[in-house]
Amino acid sequence: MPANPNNQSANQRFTAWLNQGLKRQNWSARRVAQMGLLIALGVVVAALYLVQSSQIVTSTRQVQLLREDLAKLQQANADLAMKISVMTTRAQLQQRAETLGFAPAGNLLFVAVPHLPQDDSPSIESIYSPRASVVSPQ
Amino acid sequence: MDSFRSRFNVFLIIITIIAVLVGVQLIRFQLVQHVDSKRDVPELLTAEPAPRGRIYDRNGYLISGDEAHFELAYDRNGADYASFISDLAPTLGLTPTEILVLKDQPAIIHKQLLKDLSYEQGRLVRDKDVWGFTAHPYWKRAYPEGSLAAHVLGFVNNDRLGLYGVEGWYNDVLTPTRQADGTFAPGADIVLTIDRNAQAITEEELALALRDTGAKSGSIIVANPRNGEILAMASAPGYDPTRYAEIAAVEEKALVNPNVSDMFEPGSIFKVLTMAAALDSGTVTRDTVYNDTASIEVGGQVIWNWDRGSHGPTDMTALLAKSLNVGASTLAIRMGQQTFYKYLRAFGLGRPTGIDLQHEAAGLVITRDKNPERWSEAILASNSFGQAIATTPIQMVASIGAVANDGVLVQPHVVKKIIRGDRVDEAKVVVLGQPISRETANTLSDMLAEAVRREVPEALVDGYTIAGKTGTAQIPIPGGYDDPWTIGAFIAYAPAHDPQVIVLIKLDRPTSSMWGSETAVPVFQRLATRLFPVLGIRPDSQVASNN
Repeated sequence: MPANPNNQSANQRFTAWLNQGLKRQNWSARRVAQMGLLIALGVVVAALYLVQSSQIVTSTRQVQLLREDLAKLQQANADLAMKISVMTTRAQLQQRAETLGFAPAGNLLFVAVPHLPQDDSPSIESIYSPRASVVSPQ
Repeated sequence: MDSFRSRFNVFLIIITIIAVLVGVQLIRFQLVQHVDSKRDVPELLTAEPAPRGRIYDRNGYLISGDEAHFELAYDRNGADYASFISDLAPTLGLTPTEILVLKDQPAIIHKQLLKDLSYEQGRLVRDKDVWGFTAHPYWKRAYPEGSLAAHVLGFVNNDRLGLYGVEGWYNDVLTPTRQADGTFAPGADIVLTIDRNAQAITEEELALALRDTGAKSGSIIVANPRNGEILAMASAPGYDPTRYAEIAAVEEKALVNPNVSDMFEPGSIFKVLTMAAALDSGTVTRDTVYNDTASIEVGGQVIWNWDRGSHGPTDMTALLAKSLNVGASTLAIRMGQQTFYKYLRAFGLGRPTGIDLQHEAAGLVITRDKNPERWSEAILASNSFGQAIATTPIQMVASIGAVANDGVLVQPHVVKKIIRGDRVDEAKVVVLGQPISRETANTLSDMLAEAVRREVPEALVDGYTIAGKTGTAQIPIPGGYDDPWTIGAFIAYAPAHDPQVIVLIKLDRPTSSMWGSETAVPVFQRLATRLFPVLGIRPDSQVASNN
């Protein structure tokens, strides 16, 4: 017994409408296949487009979030670097040393140590840049 | 049949429309809205630029760096005042009244309801995410050491542009770079040749010098003559780089680094170069004796010794030790103007040294070749003892540094390394020339050390041989000199026979004494006593005191 058209869903009604039309047209199987392929192709193109679009949007959002994280880390890093440098300023270290009982050095006494290398600084020639230009007096 | 055909046509039309729409969209994305892969991405993704590069001293202590600050923005549309008042207002120091009054204001949006929020405050506003209130980050330059080395550093203005000093010279290096994808990479970090401790000691001693001598201003440069590294460079009065705008409004000149930008007549410290030229050209030897009279007339101008005294037969070391103008003039005249100015050019005078700091002055040397209408023999004689010639303090350090450096002139510089990610570019020693031979340089160093021992023992530091020269210069003004004001100066290097440091002290318009030997020399002695151990300079002679 056919279902009451009033109780059919929209999808069922569309399928029935299409089947009825196809039967009346009396299309060959080949033609139906061609049409099906055409429709399938259209659906694939649409799906690809939608998938690509959504992936772009998702990736963009991810990049945006990562960049926000990077910015946050840069800010946190800068904040920490500044706090460390403020804690290690000369004035702070001097104050801390004084609190710990240290006092500025008075007279310095240099002790000559036998056999200690007297000069380990590089020679003048070794520190000059090979690409340095030499200008002679005119 | 007709019914089916018409239904099928409708179906085809719908499919075609969809396909056309998809095609149109694809064409729009690929051709009309085409974005080259190398072009910037939309601003939305680059709203928070990277920080400017940091500046460290030679030992890795941070001297200047960016700090994240936030500004509070407000949008009246749907603003959640109650949450803001309960969750954020107390932390931000705002009262409920100050918030509620916003409701009645005509402005719908305040881009900067508050500025200069700290990093913690800014993050709190962002984390609480109260509707209608948000915090936008921005970078602001901070100086953990306060005004230390302000003239060397320069400053960064509100447009994030570095001006003066290292900030100005290396602005392109320090500025964040825009990358291919439109984002910003942090600017490169810079490591200075400046030693934080040496700089602080130098600034302290300069401040004391101004207090003790009554000088209006002053400068000190401490450098390594071997490689041109500036270890400390101080100018007083200094300034707080965070308050550059207020200072610029009152006196913009206060922002300029006098050590590289201000010209002065160097006075008797210039005799070192005159003697270098005379020795190197073979005009005299260290044992040459001339008959010193109290005055000498050159080109119609009478030149007097500083003490107006006649010293009789005098050798070259005594000429330097007693700083005799008549002797220096005699050397220049014997040399001839061509030889004399050839050596001055070779020492780099009359042109910038090329130091990596903004606004370096070139100095001024009047020669017969270039300024025949202004030049005279009197100018030549005056030049020999540092008058009628304009130099910058850095030029004097570089040129006399060449004497200390076996006759080799090197370019002074303040940046040791530039660090960009994993890449480190180290500054190379740039040789500008060799104005005098190694033998001449060593002979002159010996003479200068002897001159200090004889005439300015106040400059000596236990355990070190000091080669140096005092100077007292008049201050030129239009039409003459600004009597009785002078510039007291002392330039010295140590250890004399293996120089590792050269120091120039310059005090402008001291009131305690007009002589450099009485103003600048004691400053050098105090400074050197503190500096040498800090810089790791070992004594080179017997230690006099062992208490």
